[in-house]
Amino acid sequence: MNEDLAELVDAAGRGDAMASDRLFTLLYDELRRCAHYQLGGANRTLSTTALVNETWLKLSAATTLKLESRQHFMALAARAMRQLLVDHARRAGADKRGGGALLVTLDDRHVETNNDAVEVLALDRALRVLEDVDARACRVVQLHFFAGMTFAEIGAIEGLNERTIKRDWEAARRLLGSEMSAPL
Amino acid sequence: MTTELDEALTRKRRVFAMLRYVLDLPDAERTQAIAKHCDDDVALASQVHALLAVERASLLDGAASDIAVRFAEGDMAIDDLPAGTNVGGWSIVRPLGSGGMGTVYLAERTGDGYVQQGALKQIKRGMDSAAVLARFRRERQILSRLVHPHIAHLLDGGLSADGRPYFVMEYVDGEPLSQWLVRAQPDLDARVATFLTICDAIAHAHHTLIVHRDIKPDNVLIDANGQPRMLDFGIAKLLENDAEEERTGTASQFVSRAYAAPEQLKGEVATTATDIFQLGELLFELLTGTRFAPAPTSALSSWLVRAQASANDASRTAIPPRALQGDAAIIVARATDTEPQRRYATVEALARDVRAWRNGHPIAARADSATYRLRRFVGRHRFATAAAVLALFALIGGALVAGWQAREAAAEARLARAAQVFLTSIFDASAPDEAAGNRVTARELLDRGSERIQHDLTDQPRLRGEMLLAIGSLYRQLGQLAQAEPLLADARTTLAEVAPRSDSAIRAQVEYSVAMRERGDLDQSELAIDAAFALDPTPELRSRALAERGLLREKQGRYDDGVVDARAAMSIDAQRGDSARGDQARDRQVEALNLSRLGKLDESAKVFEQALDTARAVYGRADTRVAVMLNDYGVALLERGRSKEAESVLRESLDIQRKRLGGDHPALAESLQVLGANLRAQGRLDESQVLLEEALKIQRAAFGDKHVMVANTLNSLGMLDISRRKPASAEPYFRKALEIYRERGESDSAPATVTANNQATVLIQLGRYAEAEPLARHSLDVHLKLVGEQHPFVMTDLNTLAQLEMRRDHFDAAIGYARRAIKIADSPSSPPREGAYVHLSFANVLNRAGEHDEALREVDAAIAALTRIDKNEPRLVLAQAVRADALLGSGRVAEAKTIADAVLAQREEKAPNDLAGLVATHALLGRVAFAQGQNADTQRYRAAAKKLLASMPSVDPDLARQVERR
Repeated sequence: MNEDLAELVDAAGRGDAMASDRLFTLLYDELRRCAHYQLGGANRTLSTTALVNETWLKLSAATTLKLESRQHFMALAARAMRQLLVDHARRAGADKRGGGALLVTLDDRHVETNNDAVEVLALDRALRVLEDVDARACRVVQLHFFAGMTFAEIGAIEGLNERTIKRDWEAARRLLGSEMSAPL
Repeated sequence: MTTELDEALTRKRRVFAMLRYVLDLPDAERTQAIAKHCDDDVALASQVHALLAVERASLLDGAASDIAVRFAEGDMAIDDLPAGTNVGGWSIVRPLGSGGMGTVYLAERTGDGYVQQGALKQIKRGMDSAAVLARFRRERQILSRLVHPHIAHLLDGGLSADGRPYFVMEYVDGEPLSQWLVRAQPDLDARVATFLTICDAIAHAHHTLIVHRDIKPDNVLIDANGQPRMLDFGIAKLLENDAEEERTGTASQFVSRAYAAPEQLKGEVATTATDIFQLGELLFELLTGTRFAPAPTSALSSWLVRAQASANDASRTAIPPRALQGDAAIIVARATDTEPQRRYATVEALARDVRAWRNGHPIAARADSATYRLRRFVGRHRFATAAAVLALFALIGGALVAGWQAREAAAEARLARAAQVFLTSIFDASAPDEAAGNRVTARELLDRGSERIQHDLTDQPRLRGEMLLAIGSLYRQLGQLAQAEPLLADARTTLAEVAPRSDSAIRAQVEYSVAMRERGDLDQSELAIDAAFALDPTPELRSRALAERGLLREKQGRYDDGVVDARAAMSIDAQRGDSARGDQARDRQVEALNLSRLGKLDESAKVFEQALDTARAVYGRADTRVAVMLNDYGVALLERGRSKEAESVLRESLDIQRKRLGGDHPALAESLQVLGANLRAQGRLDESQVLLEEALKIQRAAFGDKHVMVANTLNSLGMLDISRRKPASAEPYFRKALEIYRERGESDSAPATVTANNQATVLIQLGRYAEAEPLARHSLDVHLKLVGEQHPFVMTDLNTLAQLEMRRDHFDAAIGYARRAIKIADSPSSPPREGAYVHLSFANVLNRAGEHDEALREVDAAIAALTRIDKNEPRLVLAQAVRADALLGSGRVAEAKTIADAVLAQREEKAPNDLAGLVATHALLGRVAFAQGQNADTQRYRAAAKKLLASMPSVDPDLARQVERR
């Protein structure tokens, strides 16, 4: 499995779509498990970086990967995280429409969850706009927010300095904020 | 269309590029830069300004992982199992919904020609699956015993392929309670009825020692018939972390925090009191339509009314506010007290108050709890009815908890709570006035309790000690001394170690002393009671210890000292005031008993009456505890040979029980047996038969055919046929009873050996000596082990063996056994009637051995004793016959003749059907005539004897030998 992973990441890096899909599925499941695992743990404030890195470590274990492979991996991880949140949010929305037979107790926690759901879906829509407007700014948001990479790390991938990346981020946030508050 | 969109996108790209550009500039230069680069495109400029001012997406301030974790928590559907997935043999059909613990699916299991449906719940991650599984294995048997029409029971459980635990509960097609309330808008009566049904289900679970821990609206489904069903029983416990159980300060994560009781939030052990708290919350929600909030410190009586008014429109109840004023609020407040000990002690008590409130009766929660004191009394329970046992059961448990309540120490409060799981469940199930006709015997509950002590409490010595003490005491009350002794001995040493000066340590000494007294080990009993006094007990315990020592003195034959102790106890309890009146009744009872031993029967009867008056005043005339006292009084009268008075007292006891317990309660059956035994002793055999058969019918209905109580009554019926001198009819009763004991593996129990002895007696009379001997010897061996030498049981065994050896002409052996029996008969604690019988029997053995002088002394002693007991004692006739035989042997033929004639006349008049007696008397007269040299008379008597013998349905070969004796 771990041996395969290195190959998988490399293949994905070479543009192998099936390898990418397979890797995406692995990442998606592992992130989901990690997120669930968080519930039982004492440390509830684990960062996205740690979450993705933990996923990375879990998947890669002893294998060493080239920087190039890591880039693909992080991009995929970011996509997987975004997809994970969107899937969650859709389900939460389905629940709100009364899809479940059992009512979920409405305490504070769930109200918060439902707000998350609305926001995540709005962010997803806004990111699609941003992708069209400025693909690089969109990648920055993906890698920083969903994969927890630092601006410096993203700069290294993009071949740009940290400040430029930071500026992309700041501009993207504003556009996203504007798009998210726009009526559907 | 396309161009329009393209245009908008192009515009957005320009805006974004501009935005990125100006963000690099200091704030002050931005406006100028925008104006410069936008030329005259005012719209573009304003869009860039708008974006600069826009509130940045706050979602991006957080971490995606936090959202993922929140989602994982809130939305369990993420673990969707597709239809057809196999989980431990169950096939997923569709999701039913999700709750705090995980997703619930409808699942099916195909068996041999059937399809079973279940609600499969897969538990979320983040816990030690192996520990859950281990606990599941441990608890599943207990949970599977939980069968109740209003509880969805556990069908299955285990670990699924991905290592997560799952449980399968019975599938209930219904809607959650909260939804039902909004949709159906039930009225107050319907809400209360639903609540009481839920209480019933929870109470049932508590009786099987299971606590729910997570009672909340979502765990109650209302089925198609409008009936509530409890979900997830005991699941919370299964999921609790082992480590967490020990650690304080961490609440179990699997219990809904919104409904958790205060002690759960503190991470303490959940008990029945926890369930009562959550029932209180549920009642609050049912009545007000709002979520529970703690009771206010003032204006309690309008608490619910205010909560109702604050509800939102959809959930506000249409209950008239005046119905919620007052008692309803007090009930909810009592159930949801932050201190578990101040809540209702049992679910039944809560339900009772709810009913009282709805019926307009006063509620118990209003009564000042400080005056609510549990009282105890101790009687002599050798022949205690089940009612007696069950009442004591409740009282001991109650006192234990009350004792803890009286002290403030937090550690002890915790202990009390843990103990309540055991105790409340045990004594609730058994309180006879409440659970009339309950099929669970006290013994069965105890066995369960003691099993759990050994199992669950090994690492909590204090609680273990307390529970050993409680359960050991209860076994003792049930007369299960073999079970009681090791538990109490253990309790005594454990408590002496971990809590040497506590009330419990003192109580353990007292209880052990009582157990040893009942076993007949009077020296050990005295040592233990001395140890109790050395610990400087509180007045309540001191008076108890004095009363117990009073009973010990009675056993030791130190009746005067016994009276002194009883009176000392009484003077303490008199000072303790009205709250100790139950104890006063006990003290008087002890005094009465010692007085009756001193032969001061009138004085004794007076004190017994006082004891009864007090008990009646404390508990009411028709209370089962009064019935217990009456029963004891009856037994005391019976043992003193005052059968007639005993009968009237026992009949009163019986009347109370019929009234309080109904006609089919097992406790009633036991009292019927005591009265039946009394009537048998009076020779009223047919009346006795009627009572015993009623008892047998009740017991067979209550316990089934194979129960020890059934065996016990079969034994009594066999005894009747012994009295009727129909050994052949008695034999099948005893045989059936012995079969029951054997099948149950209880051949070594005290009642089984008594029956074995009876069967031996019957077999001896039937001449089946070879079959009789092992039974008699087994009985003796077991009794010696169980109660030691100085006990009436042993006396009876020895007497039986003496008879057996006599009939085989092994006179030395017979006399040896008989002398041992006599030693016991002459001890002060021996029942006098049986003692006199043993003297009589010994006299008979001596006659047959040719020791006529000694026989005469023995028979005279027996006659004197029997006359003292009852001038009409039926065996006085037999005694005269034995005396005539002794006189004949001593050469006092004329005296023998006179007596033998009188015996014949009496037998022909009073017992014409006692063929054996008539044969023996004719044989005696034949021997007298032979001694007088009157051959004609000799032949005549012998012929008559032979003729009678031939008409007997079964012939005692020894009797046949007597006819031939010279």
